[in-house]
Amino acid sequence: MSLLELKNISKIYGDLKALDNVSISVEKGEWVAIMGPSGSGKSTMMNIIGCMDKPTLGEVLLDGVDIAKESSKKLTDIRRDKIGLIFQQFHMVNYLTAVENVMVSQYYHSLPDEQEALEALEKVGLRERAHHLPSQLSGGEQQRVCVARALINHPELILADEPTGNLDEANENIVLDLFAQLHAEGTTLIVVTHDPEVAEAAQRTIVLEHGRVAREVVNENFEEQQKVWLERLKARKDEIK
Amino acid sequence: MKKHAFAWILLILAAVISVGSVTVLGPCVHADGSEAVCSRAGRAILIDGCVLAGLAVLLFFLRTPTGRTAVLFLVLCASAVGIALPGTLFPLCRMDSMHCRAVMQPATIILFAAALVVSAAGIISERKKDRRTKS
Amino acid sequence: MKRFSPVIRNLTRKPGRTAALVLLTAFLALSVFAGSVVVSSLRQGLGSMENRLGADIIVVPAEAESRFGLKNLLLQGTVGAFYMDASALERVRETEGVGKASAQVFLSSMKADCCSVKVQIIGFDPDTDFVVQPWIAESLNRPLEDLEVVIGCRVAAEVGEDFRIYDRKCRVAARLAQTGTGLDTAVYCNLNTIHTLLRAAEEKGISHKIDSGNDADVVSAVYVRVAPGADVGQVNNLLNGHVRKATAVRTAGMISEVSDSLAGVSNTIAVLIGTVWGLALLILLIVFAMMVNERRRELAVYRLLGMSRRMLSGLILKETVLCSLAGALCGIALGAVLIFPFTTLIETSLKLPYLTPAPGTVLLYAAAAAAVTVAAACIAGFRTALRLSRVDPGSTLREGA
Repeated sequence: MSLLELKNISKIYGDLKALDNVSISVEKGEWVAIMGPSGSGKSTMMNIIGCMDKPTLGEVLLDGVDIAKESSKKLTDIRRDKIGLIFQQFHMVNYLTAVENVMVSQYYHSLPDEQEALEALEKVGLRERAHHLPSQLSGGEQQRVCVARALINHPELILADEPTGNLDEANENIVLDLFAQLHAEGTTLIVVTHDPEVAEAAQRTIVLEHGRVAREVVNENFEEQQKVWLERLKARKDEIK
Repeated sequence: MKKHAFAWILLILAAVISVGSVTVLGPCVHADGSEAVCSRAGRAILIDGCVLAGLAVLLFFLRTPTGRTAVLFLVLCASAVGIALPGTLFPLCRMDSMHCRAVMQPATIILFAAALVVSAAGIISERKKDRRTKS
Repeated sequence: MKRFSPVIRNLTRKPGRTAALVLLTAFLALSVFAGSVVVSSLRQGLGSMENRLGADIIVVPAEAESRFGLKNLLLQGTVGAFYMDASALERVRETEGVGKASAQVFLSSMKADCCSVKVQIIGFDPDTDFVVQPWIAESLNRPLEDLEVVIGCRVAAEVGEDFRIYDRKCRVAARLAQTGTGLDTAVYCNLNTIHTLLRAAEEKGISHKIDSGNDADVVSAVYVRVAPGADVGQVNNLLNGHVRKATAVRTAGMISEVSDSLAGVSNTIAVLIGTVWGLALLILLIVFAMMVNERRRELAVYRLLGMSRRMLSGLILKETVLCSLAGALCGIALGAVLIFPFTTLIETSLKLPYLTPAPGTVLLYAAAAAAVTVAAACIAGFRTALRLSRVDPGSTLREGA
């Protein structure tokens, strides 16, 4: 069974169809990119998948449950329990340290556990920066903290909106390497992007145009690519040690 | 201002104590100009207030945590003495309604107690800073 | 495991905003607590005065009322000594409607061992007195002997101690409970003792006599309780006509004068409290309104992370409760520091009877002030909490992206 299924989804604002009869599915453990130019509907799709919005028509099945029919409160609960979100602008809380930003995500899910939060930061290579404020972290480091924050509650799905949009090439690679690691561990990833290079990192790319699925592209070189990233990540970690 | 917060607060308190001890917060004044029983207490408070002011000024110039901690400790001691000055170490007039008992004694105790609390907080703050620097 | 609370962290990381909230709520609590304690103390003082006066009418020498003011003597402890012929007592007793009458003799000390100032010495007749003895009995369960005194609570001497008045040694037999009036600085003795002291004063060249003659024939005041069923006003008028060179003063009139002054002070305090609350609440509302804009993005992040609206408004209200509680405690502590050590100063400044309430009552006032302050802050912040909880995370975070 697919982890996520969008069946004939439409989002209509007056005369404008932001999404028009879109159907996609994402298997558990899959890394999918959703790509398209500005206005293609990818942000709308991101909001619907991320339980921040509801479609006008259609079904959204997350783990077999149609979340399109749920109340706002229920959507918030689902977002908290099942989805980890990563954003282009990071959206960290400015006056909380890195570890506190991770613990905030835990606070309303279960119990804040500093040790667990530190382990999540270790996973993204930022344990030694745990007690720094966002203003003391680089863009790449902030995004890695957001990855840790997204992971801390062991969500079923990681949803990333232009995660490398504000990063330089070096940091972009660091983040993509992390995604590779997460994927290798079995995490389901959906990355929304306009950048073809970021989309090419995924197993499969769904291309949106004018609110519809234009095509789907399978990445034939994914396995080799992943090996390279994982080796690069390991090398980086060894260097830090 | 933030850097010398404790010094400023102590200086202001010391100024209030010193100036107060010769004005509104001072000892009783007899109509015939003779000295009241509480006059010596008033003078002692003035001296202690000046000592406190001097120590507070010193805090502005000291850079090392050890030095500042030492001065704050002296402030703490001077404040403790100040609390005991009116009524315990020096006698006051015996009627509760006299100015020394109604105004000088409670005001002096409150101001010196505030200085004591501030100096204690200052000592804790300096120790924390010192530990942070060393680690 | 280090404890983490977003509520505490939000407050500590924004010290300016937190300090503003704490300061505002401190003012709210200070005004309510201090105002309540002062008004309550004035009411208690008035009640104490009513109890202690004991008599319906006090008869004093005619010019004494205008020179000294009986109210000042009783309320502020203004020292006074005035005399009239002892026959005034008989005339009072003969007056229709008088139930009980008892004389008192006043003397002021120049300097007693106990004090650097004058104290009021009051001699009463143990056989006929109904004013002083009931409350002396609370502290001393035997008759007062010659050259023994009972002191008001503010007189600085210890029980059992000897002290000199006009070079006569007197022993302190007991200390009276606080009344909150000028009687707290008085010294009480029987008539034999007061006459001894009057003679001693004469020997020192200090004449207290208005009329010449044997000092045993003078009294300073006659306290009157009217007979059951008699009209106090009528008896007062009769006394004014019957007793020469004397004035009869109704204690009810004195009490109602004090009561009017008290009402004036209470109203002033109420206006002050109202002003402080009006300003502080207005500023609180402004601070909360500013908070809406300032925190929208921060709280949108929390919503994105899965915080429900209820949790969000709960977070803001918890912050408000913590701040306002801290502020209330600071305000109450400051109020206590300003009021209780300076009780004597407040009493002498207001020139009204002033008796601080029991500790239990003070604690109740403190709890009430804290509760009212926290409630007011929560009401002020409720709308903000509601608005912030309705933040749409997606659109808020996209603004300015």
